[in-house]
Amino acid sequence: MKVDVHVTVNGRPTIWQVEDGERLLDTLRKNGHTEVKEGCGGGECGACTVALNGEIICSCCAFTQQVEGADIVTAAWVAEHNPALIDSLVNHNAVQCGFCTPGVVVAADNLLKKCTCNRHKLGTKEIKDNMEGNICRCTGYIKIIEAIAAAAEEERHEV
Amino acid sequence: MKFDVVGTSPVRLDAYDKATGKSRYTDDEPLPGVLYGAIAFSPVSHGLLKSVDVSKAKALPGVVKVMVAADLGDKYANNIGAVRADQPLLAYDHLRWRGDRLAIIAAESPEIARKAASLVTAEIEELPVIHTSEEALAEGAPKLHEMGNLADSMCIRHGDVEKAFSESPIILDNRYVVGYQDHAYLEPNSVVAIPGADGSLLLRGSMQAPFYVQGALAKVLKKPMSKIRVQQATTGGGFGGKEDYPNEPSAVASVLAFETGRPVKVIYNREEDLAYSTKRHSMIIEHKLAAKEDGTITAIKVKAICDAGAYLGISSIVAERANASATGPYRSPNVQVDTLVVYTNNAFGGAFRGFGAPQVTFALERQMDLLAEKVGVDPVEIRRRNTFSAGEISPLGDVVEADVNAMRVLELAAKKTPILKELKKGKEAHIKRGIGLAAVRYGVGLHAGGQRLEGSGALVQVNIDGSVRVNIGGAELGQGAFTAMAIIAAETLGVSYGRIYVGEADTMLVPDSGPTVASRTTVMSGNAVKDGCLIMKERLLKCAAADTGRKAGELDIKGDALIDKKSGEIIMDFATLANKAYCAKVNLVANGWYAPDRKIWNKEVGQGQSYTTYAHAVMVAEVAVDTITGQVHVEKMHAIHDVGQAIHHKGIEAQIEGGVVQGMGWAIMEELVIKDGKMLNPNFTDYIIPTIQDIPEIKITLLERPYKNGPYGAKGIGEPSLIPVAAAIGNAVANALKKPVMELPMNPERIKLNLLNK
Amino acid sequence: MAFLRPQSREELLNAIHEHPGYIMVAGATDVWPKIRRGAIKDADFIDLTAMPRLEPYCDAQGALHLPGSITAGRIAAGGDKMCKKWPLLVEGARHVGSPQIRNRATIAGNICTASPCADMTTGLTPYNPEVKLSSLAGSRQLPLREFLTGPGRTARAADEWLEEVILPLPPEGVFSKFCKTGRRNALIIAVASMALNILIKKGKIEHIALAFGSVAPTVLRAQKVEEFLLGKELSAAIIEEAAAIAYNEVKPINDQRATAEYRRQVCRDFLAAALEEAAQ
Repeated sequence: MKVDVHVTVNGRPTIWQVEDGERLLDTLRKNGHTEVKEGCGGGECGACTVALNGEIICSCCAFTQQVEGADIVTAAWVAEHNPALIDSLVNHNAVQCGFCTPGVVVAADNLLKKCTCNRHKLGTKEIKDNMEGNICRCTGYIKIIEAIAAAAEEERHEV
Repeated sequence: MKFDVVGTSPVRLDAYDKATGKSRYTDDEPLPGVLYGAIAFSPVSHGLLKSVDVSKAKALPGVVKVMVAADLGDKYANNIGAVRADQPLLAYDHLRWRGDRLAIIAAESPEIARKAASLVTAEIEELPVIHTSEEALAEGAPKLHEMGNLADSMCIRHGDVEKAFSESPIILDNRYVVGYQDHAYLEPNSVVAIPGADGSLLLRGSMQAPFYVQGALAKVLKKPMSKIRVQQATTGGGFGGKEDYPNEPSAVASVLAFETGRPVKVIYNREEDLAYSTKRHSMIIEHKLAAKEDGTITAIKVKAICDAGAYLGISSIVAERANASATGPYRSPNVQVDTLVVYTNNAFGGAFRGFGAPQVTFALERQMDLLAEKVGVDPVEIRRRNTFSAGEISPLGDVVEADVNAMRVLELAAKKTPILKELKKGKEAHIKRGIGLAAVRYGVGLHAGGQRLEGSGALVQVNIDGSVRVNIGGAELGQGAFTAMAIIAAETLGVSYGRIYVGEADTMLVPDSGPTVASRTTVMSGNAVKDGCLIMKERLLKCAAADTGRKAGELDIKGDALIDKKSGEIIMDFATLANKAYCAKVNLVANGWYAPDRKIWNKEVGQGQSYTTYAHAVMVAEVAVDTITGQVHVEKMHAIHDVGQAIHHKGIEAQIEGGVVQGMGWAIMEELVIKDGKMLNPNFTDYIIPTIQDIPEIKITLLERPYKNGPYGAKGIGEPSLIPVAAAIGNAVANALKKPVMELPMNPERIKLNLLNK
Repeated sequence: MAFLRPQSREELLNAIHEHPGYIMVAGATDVWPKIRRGAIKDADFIDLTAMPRLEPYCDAQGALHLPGSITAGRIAAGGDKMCKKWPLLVEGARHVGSPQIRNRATIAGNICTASPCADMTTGLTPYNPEVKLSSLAGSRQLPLREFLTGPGRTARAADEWLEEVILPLPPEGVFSKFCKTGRRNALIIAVASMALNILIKKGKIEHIALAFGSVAPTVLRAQKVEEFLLGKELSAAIIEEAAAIAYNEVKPINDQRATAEYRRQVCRDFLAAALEEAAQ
């Protein structure tokens, strides 16, 4: 049986027709959001990270029906609304195979938003604590940390 | 030498598309009418297959095709072995491991396909499982193949080891055991086969050796290679794991595509990928080393046993590098190495960053530290006394190259790292700190045994608007190969980096360039790109000479313009030049090619010119061992690398950082738990790889001395960044605990046990 | 398959009364991996996420009432008060999965999964918490240790809902320690864990509550160690003896993550180190 699910995805109100028990990740990908990747399907790698009502989650571990009425943000939205973060990742060579990157982008954007609210300097520990759910097998994480720290500094100076 | 583009760090060609999520990986491509393939794998590790029942799978709504071995008939060849014809595409009699395929299925959705696969049942007579390579070699062990369980072997014979052992005062005879590692690239194996109406095939997928896939498909499909086009899609990591394994899902997808007349995607999930794709080999290494009282090595004898799993795959080739890496950068007048490749019912051994070298390096470098201890010198001094220099005959039987950097990286390590300093005591009583060093001599490119594959091609096309397209046979796995190619093309043509577009690897555009492995792409494809660009440049300058009435030798292209070499006067911009060349009917496509000189090699004794050149590295690890939990925390890694000339500085750093963390994962946490041939942890819940909370601080020192045959002096970096990591950490842990470390991974439990051993 | 989304307490209680066989789901961070490995098959669900979100509060006795729907992330962020009064709870919550998981996983889910390695449950245990179970018939309160009956098993009746977790106020000045081991520093299932509350007054142990995770069929309250230590003065010899009791009291198994022996050793050494720290 198909059910209607009303959501706002990347700022656009949408009605999805889904099967009972469908995974949010599958619904997103079926509806063209292929920027959301499946790395493990078990909530252990973060490649499928999206922001749900301002909090990051693994879309492989959520039922689509659970997000009725919610606001969902994927990397495509961040690309449009936080180009400074994308620039920083790109300029720091923090992107290699790229499969984890859309998840990293969402998690990092979410962190930057939190720290802009608090207007404090973003330290390595805080970056690590907030990015520990995003596995990257290529970079060794160092350039990701540098890129997020630099993006945060830039934002802080702008605020 | 001063360069315009080489050695800078321009933004990677693919970075924006990847970061914004626009890049399309195999499963992201919309494809009307596509079917999804799934595989019913063997439920046993060893057995005789009596029959397969696919009736329930066939009856499931949405299932379009189900095939077992008999359905392949004469139309297809039931053989997917990469090196040897020992591996069926679909199992028919002997089940040798859990990755054997009972049936393949195409269905309207991946869920239906997998559900159908789960409905396949089989009648099987189980056979005793071979658990270890030593069990496989024991007398009376069940034979996995007609030839027996010794799948292959290679050796080095150099001098007389037994004589040296009888005459040397110091003998270190030890056994090292190292475990498997999974690549854990973030994108699991993914391919899509699109059948053409004329019997041709387009296969796109996540892979690092499109020419391997093309060859394998030609065999299975019994079609001429000309009808099989293989394109590499954007690939989410490889690390060796997508060297030969993609042949298998590609063949499954292709057979199903021809049978159904529809495109077929085969997209592994993480569990399937972990359980059935290839792994870094588990090895047992018996290492006997003899030395004089001052620590000068007199003999090295190694027996390395590689667990290949049920089929040969490319284990022979991996073992060849293990064999050639067993003596590292050290001189030894007497060497005997025997590397055995053994069939078992375990995981499928294959290519993985380092390719057999990390395992033997762990053993060798542990031995070097034990030797230092015995002689009473520090870890640098013992290596100083044994590291060979230019002009000597190496244990591989070749003359050590004139520009060898082995000693230079060692001295840099002595100077730039705290390896020779007193360790600072920590505050916590339960933390023990240690420091350790390891060196590696890495043969860049393919071993002499595989040199028939060593050529690389490139296609360079100049368009009339002054843009340039480059295609290479090498693949972009995330390492930045295409970006390096764009830099080399820009540097050679004298145009800006932004003009260059590097298209995906495609068997229809470039001649067979071998696989993207062995840290060879920058050197091989890079030289091919340089060659193609030089041909193109010569054509353009000749055309410009005719057009301007000047001599070609007085002209150059620099800064996106045709210039007068002497005065620097700008004559015309590059686009105008390109357009003029087009109007003058100059061929604006050039094919570049590079193949190193043929190497002389004697397999019988393992002596000769093993590799085209070598890259050297030394790593120093600083660790803190928690004696309560046994957890090893790698606090700092110092990486000193001989890279020739850096093509892309940040790219090199990123390769090293990634290699260090991946190597660290193998050293201290990653482990395949295999019981009776079955992997018990095929998921990221229990196959544990490093997170951002586990990484060490990494200090990189590059030794930049251009390599004469590298494009602008470059060497390879991909694998040297991983090979010495586990060895350095192992030496650091041994230093911290003052106890021997003989096994990898150094997981918390092993360390805790080690602490209790008196 | 059915997927019900009750909007209120009443709707929920009716739904579970009518469909006692349905699986209750909130964060789904444990349900999805179970579906994947086939541990949950062809199931129907009652989803709790459409219910109103409730806030934690403290009652007149100072006990903390946590709604079952509170997430690990919310607890890990720890209001100041929570951090100060119930630090083991906060520590336990911080060790759950990753930010992505913590933002979804609820405390009721963590408890009802009844896994011996549930970090929040380990963190809670030393506080002698109670769980409030509600059904159409009414509510009842049960000590957590009676609620957890085995691996994956609880005393919850099929039509009951874990509405609230109640944590009494621990004694003033208590020393707390949470320890966990696994193969890496984050996003890891505990191979062994410990949560300790201890109050030493005038050299004597006046209060002790000790829990171990991943070393028994349920999160284990180490009563033998507690009985041994209560009223004693900490010395090197006492610590060694207590650690030895812990080594024997835990009942771990060998599994693919570690051996029983390793787990015993770590529990012993965790306790010894924590007691040494407490003694200082």
